Amino acid sequence: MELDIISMVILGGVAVTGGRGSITGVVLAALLIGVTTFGLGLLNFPGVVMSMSMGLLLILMVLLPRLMAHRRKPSRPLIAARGTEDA
Amino acid sequence: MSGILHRRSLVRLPMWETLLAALLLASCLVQVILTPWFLNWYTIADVSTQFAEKGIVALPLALLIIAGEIDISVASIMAAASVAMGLAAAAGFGTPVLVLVGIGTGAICGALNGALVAGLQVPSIVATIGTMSLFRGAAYAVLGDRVIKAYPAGFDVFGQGFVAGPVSVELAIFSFVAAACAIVLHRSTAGRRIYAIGAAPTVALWSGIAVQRMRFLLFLLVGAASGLASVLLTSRLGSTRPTIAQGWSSTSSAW
Repeated sequence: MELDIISMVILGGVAVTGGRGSITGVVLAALLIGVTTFGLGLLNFPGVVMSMSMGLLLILMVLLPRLMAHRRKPSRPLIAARGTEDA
Repeated sequence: MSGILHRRSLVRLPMWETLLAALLLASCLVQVILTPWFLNWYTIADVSTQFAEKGIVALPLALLIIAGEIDISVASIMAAASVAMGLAAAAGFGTPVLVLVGIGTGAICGALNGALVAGLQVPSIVATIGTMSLFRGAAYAVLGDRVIKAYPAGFDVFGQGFVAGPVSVELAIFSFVAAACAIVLHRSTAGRRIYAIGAAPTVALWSGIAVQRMRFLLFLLVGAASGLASVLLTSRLGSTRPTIAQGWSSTSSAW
């Protein structure tokens, strides 16, 4: 259950490294998880499938910004980001 | 690399919420099409039991994670609070006392986490892995394989009651907690300090922010919220077992 709760926070767009996130995001993530689990229940999916689909949703959503960033033209590096050339 | 990603994500923050809202809408639409039982006012009440208890913990936990810490002992705090409420109920106390016992036990557990992290400088993931086992273990040690069901009449209002129409008490409390967290994070100096601590703790410290006090208070807040969630969960189930608030299926097995 602690992992479900942390998933909600991360799906809401809060950075695990800290410093970024909003309450609107967490509320929307809670609603999304609630509605989707409820729906899977209505459609008689077993609990294991719910757990797996929530895990998949979390991974896909966290990957999405990176996949989108790759499709863009590489932007000019920020001055403040120097010193991290290994990126 | 993380610096660059961090900056980009910061610019696109509202987009994330738009995406979540779109997914939420899509999830609702798919269900409207697939099942004839979704379009019903009481769906709101049923859905709220799926997320309200977890959400009440997730919101303050978001503040803690934004401040750069983590608490993975929340479900164990809920178990410990539920056991404390069970013992108080068995001793014959009424509903108001039970609520205070639940939230109080949560706050004490949160204060212990806060003291370990802010006072003794234990990394929060290590400290809360420890207290996760400690609180769950305490629940088992006290209760063994017993179940407490001796809750007074009227205690069920928190988990099973309704404020008006399909708006359950759980949903109302979740909305209140969400509004409170939004005000603290987005409209108060404490919120700016939480972001500052999470982005750069050393800079925050040198800027005169009481970093350790804020960390302690956030752990206390998360603990108290877990206690509150435990009141709702215990009230909804009407019983306490040491395995309460463990695993996803334990809450959705009613389906």
